[in-house]
Amino acid sequence: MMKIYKKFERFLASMKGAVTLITLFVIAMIIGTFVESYYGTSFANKLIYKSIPFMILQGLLFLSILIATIDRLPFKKRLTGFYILHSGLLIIFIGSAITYFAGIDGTVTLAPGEQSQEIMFNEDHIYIQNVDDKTKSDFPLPNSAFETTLDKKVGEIHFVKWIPYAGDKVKWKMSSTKGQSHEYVLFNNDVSTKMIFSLHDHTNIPSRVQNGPLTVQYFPAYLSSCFDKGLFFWDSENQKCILEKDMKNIKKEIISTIEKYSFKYNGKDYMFMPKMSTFPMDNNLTKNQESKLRIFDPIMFLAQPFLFIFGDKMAIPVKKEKWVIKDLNLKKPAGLPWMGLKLMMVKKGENEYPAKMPHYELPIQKDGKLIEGSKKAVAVKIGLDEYWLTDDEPLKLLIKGKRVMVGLGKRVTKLPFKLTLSKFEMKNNPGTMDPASYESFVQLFTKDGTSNHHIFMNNPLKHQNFTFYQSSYFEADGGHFGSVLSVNSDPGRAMKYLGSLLLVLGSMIHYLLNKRKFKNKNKKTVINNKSIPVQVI
Amino acid sequence: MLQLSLKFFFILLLTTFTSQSFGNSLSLCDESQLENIPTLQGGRVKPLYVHSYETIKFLTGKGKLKGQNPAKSYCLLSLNQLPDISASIQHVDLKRILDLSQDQKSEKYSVLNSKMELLKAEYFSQQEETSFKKALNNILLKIQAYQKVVDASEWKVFIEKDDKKFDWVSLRETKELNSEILIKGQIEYQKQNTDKYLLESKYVKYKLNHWALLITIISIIFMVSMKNNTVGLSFATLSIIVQLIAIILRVQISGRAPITNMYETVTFSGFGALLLAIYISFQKKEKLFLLAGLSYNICTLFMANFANGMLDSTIKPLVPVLRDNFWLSTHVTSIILSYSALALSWILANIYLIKNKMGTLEASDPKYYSELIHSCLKWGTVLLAAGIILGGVWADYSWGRFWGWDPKETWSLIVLLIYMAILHGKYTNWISNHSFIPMVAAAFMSVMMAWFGVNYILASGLHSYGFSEGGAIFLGTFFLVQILIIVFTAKQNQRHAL
Repeated sequence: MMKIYKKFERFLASMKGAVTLITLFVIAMIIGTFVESYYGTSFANKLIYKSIPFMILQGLLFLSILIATIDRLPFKKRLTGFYILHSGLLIIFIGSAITYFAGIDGTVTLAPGEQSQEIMFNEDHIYIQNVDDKTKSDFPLPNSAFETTLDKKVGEIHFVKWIPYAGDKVKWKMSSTKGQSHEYVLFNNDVSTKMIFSLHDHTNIPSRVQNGPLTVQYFPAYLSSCFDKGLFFWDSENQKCILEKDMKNIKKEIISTIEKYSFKYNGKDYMFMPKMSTFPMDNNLTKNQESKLRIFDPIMFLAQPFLFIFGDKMAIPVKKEKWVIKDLNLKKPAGLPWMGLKLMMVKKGENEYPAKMPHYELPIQKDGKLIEGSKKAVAVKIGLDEYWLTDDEPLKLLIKGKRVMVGLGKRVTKLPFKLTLSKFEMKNNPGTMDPASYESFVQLFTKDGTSNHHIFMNNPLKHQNFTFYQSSYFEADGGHFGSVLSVNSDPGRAMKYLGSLLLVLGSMIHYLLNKRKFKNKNKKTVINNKSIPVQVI
Repeated sequence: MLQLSLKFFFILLLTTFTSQSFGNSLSLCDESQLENIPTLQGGRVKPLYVHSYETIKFLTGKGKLKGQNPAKSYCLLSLNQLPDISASIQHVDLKRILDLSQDQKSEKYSVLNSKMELLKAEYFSQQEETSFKKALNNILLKIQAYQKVVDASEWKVFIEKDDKKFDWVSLRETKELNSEILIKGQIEYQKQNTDKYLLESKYVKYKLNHWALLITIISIIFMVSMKNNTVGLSFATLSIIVQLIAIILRVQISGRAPITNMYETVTFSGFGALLLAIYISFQKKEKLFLLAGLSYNICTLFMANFANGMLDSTIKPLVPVLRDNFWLSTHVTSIILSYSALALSWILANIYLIKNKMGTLEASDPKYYSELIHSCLKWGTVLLAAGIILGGVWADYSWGRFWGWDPKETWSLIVLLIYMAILHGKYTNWISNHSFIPMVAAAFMSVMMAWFGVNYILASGLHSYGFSEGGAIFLGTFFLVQILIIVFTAKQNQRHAL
């Protein structure tokens, strides 16, 4: 064992060891730059630059330099440059390690006029929040570039799988409860698209799809009996539709060309204005989007290309005058009145339902943005039920009567002071739309009071141990601009600077000041072995 | 009768009016002072001569049309008085789309203009980034530029407006225009600013880099053919002076270090290499360095003067991140000078390889050349290390991080480490002189990758400011030729080693 260790140490200290390590390091970096160009910056960081093997490689390089330097002690004057250069390198390594482990590198997003105190980091985190008693906990996700199995339990919640780059795929799942789900193909001679709809309780698939100019809306089967008979009400609680003439005690008024319907239904007062919304409204004209009763005037949808599907039936417009209900049969195409399009039902789900499931996708970067694999997802199990948590929205769960919210986001911490953006300015080059500078005017709130600062490119704000740099901007509501600052605290900075200085100084002494005799060919000196520029270091 | 005479009167009025404006515009374009009128283009004020030269060169491939002053051509073009000009069409598929025969090399803009929709449709139907798509993009850009010039919206003039204030207005928005109004604007502009912008005309007219190329070629001919180096050295010095004047003019015009795009870095590295070569050859009393420096200088000047598709010589405003003269001039200068030194080593290595293949080497040459190359590498690596570190300090100062694995950063480190691996290997004699020299020749490919490849091939990340076309083909050819040289000289090498 000792022998292997000794051998390894000698290899590291040897010039061959150094060359091997440098070569490996170079190969890894070359791969890294190409990976970045295809798969994006974050993927390259996870796969190479911030990966454990790459860290180990850097550690070995450090050891190699350290042992090689110690080997050449005690001090020899001839090697002055060598000592300075290599200790410079070692100090840079130490400084970088300090930065890596103790430094802060995040961003602060300043929305116009709002106070901010949060720094956001690049690491992905899971947040668990108990809505009732406000307790919070969080944990980091592994820094992996591929799908990773998790085995983390927080209370009843079991985190199973982590997909750092995900896309959506629709999958059919079995279910104990019944629901209405269908799969159709919309096609003509040139194009064909698959459409999957579901009204099942567990699905996450939208019931409206846009296919070019055509809008397709999927409705429950029971609405088909009313749809061709004029204005009707949709009672989703009792799963039925009621025609205008069948609704009792209905009061119809017309207020400046807008019809208003008011009536009592199942003990509740309702007021509808079908031209403004399908949802009921109160006296202040605010929509109640929670309502189980809605109004539909099918005539209103004749103006634009709309297709309504009710599972086994569909409604198609005739001459922009009225709706006609037609049957849909499995595997039998039915003609539509647009561009020779046909609709065919290909699957009918009764005991199963479709659901969008995140799956791993290799990311692809185009123009600085991920166009594939841009989502992040975590598979969560509670008891036997499986859920998907994505970075789009948090998961709201009810566990043993407690409301719990689980989120997937970036790691966030708080600054010891607050910032507000008072103004963001973007200057263009004269006569063009090309940006010449971005500038943030920022107010800083501390215990000692408020101060104003001006942050722009190459002019950061320094406060306490933090430095704020102008990084990016975004357009907020109302055309105002918000600013993104990068925040930095780097305890390794001094060491890196010292190391850099020594490195440059050392290499100058070593290479440029070391006077070696240069054998000039014109002088016809006898070239002997001693003149070979072999420096023993 | 009355009706008829009214009609006649109206026609008469119309003809006098049009002929008068026609006469005016012609006299405007004939004005000798026209080329010095300031114009605002792409965020910078330039003399009309420069803008005209650049525009006409972009549109037709030539700076001057039939020896005519470009300002006059541009003026006539803006007023729709110039006979139809043509764009050069090279791509085979583009010729097919435009119904050109294969030996027809250009097409009139009036024809291209009418086929714009067709070209656009073809461009959008191309899914892959092929050379055809690039050619389509290029011709579409040219047609758009032509349209803007012809409808007079591109020419921005500095004139007195109704409110008695002077401002930039496009020719299209002007009510009347004659040379007096323009010259009045020019005087006012020079009063508000200076007449420094006129320097750019001189810079474009003198074509200093063309002269420098000629002088360098003369110098290398004298150096090779004459035993006495004085004449060759004088020409080399003259070339340095001409290039220095070109660089100083550029600094004066742009107000920043002359290393902000590919054109500038290429010319600067050629200049730096020649300067460094003269210094090292005097220090070491060795003529070969000078020959290497002159050869490299010819390469860079050749690229700068003739590879216009890849290296754009126009002076443009700088992107915000680079607007810091101190860091720009220290960090980039250091890196570019290191590339100069490494380029010297590359030239020397290739001279050795070719001499070796031809069998004109002496027994002492392997060691001797290794030493020469070694001197260049020392300069190259020290300057590169310093440049990388300065870049780190600048990044730390303006972005808050010393190192971020940005492709340009990473590739500069790759270059340094490749040379360090070769040098470390050589110290232990693990790498012999015979393999050392081809390795140095090959290592320069990493420099080309860091310098051009990151922008032309990887093209992502913070540093990719100067993306232009044709670069990938150039780089591919370079790699191929270098690899072929190494492969074809390899056998000879081994025999020599025995």
